[in-house]
Amino acid sequence: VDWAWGYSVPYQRIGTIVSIDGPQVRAGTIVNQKGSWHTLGVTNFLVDQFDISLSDYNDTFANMLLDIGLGPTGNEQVAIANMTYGMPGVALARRWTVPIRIPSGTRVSARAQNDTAGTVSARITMQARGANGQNPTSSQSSVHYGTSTTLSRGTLVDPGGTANVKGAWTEITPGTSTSHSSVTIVVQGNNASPKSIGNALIDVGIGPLGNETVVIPNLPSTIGASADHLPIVFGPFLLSLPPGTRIVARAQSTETGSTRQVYINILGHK
Amino acid sequence: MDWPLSRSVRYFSLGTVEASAGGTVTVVSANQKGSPTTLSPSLPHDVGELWIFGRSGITAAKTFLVDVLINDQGVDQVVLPNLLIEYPGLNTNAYNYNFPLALPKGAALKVRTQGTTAGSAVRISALARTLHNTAPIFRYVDSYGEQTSGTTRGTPVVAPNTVNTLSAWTVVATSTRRAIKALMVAFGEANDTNAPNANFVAQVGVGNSGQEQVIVEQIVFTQLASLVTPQPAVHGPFAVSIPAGSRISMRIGNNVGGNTTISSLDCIIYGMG
Repeated sequence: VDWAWGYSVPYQRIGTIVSIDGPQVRAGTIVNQKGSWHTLGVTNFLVDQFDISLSDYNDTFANMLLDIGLGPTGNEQVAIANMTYGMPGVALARRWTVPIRIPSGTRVSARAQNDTAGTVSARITMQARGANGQNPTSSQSSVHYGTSTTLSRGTLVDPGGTANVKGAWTEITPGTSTSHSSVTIVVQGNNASPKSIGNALIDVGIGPLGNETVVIPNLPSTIGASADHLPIVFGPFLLSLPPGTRIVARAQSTETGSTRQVYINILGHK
Repeated sequence: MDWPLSRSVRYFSLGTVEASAGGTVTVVSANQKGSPTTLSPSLPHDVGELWIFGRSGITAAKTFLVDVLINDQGVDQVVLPNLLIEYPGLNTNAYNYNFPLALPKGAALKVRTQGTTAGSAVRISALARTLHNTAPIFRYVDSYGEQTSGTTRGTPVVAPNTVNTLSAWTVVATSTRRAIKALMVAFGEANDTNAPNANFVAQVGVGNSGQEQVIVEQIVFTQLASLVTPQPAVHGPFAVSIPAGSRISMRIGNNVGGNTTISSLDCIIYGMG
């Protein structure tokens, strides 16, 4: 179908515009436990997509999880749960494009947890895209798979010790909790810095053990010496998944050393 | 196993060399487009969306402009012009382009490139999605802001010395050739080899000088001293409707200030319609 836009959709920056830096979201004082909510802003129109950018706040941390909440103070409802953010030495900006429908006038907030001691923080900025009634209906909710809240990161997918050969399938979820129309795939490395530079290819598959089928092949990830995998967030990809779908991932890498591991989590959009 | 993905689509990779995690395109002559390299001799399905992945190929700093072509019925046709890919060293950047573009089954998919240095190389692979009856799709892509004659780069945009302040507007397109329904933006590091850690914000505006209206308010990226190039380097698509003949500008700022060497970026805008 044609891109049925007769006019532009509005874009709104959520959060302060006083500084180039976004507002900081500080993690809680307890390791691997969410801190308090931080207000980011209020939507000015009916939203059908968020572009969420995470960057560091000159703090040192290893792995962080952030929630996006909707609703008034004291009654925040988690709309996007456990967005991963890692910092192996330096923190790359990580942009999430999340199709989600949110009414005008909704308060947007965020909270964080991290896996190291101290109340470290990350910057977060959001750009909301308005709906115009002509776009395909956006997702109503998102579900995160493969994220460990006890480790504040995704699921370890080991490329294996043989270079340039796909490793075994690793289960991201034994079954989706609902149906999904698209998915976002997040790839990050371990916390080692420096790393051995290299290249990885990621397959995402579905299906029962022994009958996995590749649905998204060969996402290329580059391993920087002093940074994380590049790029980190892929998608969203249109993919119709019924409830109960088992999602798996596998990887191959040019590297076979200790820094070859990748961590993967997948955000399903309903 | 056949899954009941009746409303789903297929994704297939093109040009991926699993033995080295990506194909390679080499620049023969500096600042001139070379001969096409084939990623797929024949697309196995009608395509509704195409990702182009650009990765660094060798250690030295290089800037590339990559054309994506199809060959349908014996004729090469550029469908994605001048995709900016830049890296200051090996494995220091990744460019992911995402175009909802219709391509016919059976056509060959090729790339050709120009770069600042003869003999330099860039790795290109692609991921394609089949058509989907509810997904938006475009028929053409125009690039704005590229410099292809005697050099290989985009339009320089410079952050001001004052921290957390946006620059003056820089014109990227004086007059758009065709109507735009969505745009993408790519940034490069303008062949710099060092840069500070910094957070950047960019805005896109439309309108005459002094009357620019912000249409994309916030494009956020990080520049790290260890990687130099912006990350993420490619942003969009942004759903904006811009008529033909429009003037498009960009302004940027960062949180460290600096001088024109470390605060200058290259930019190219891609208009889809």
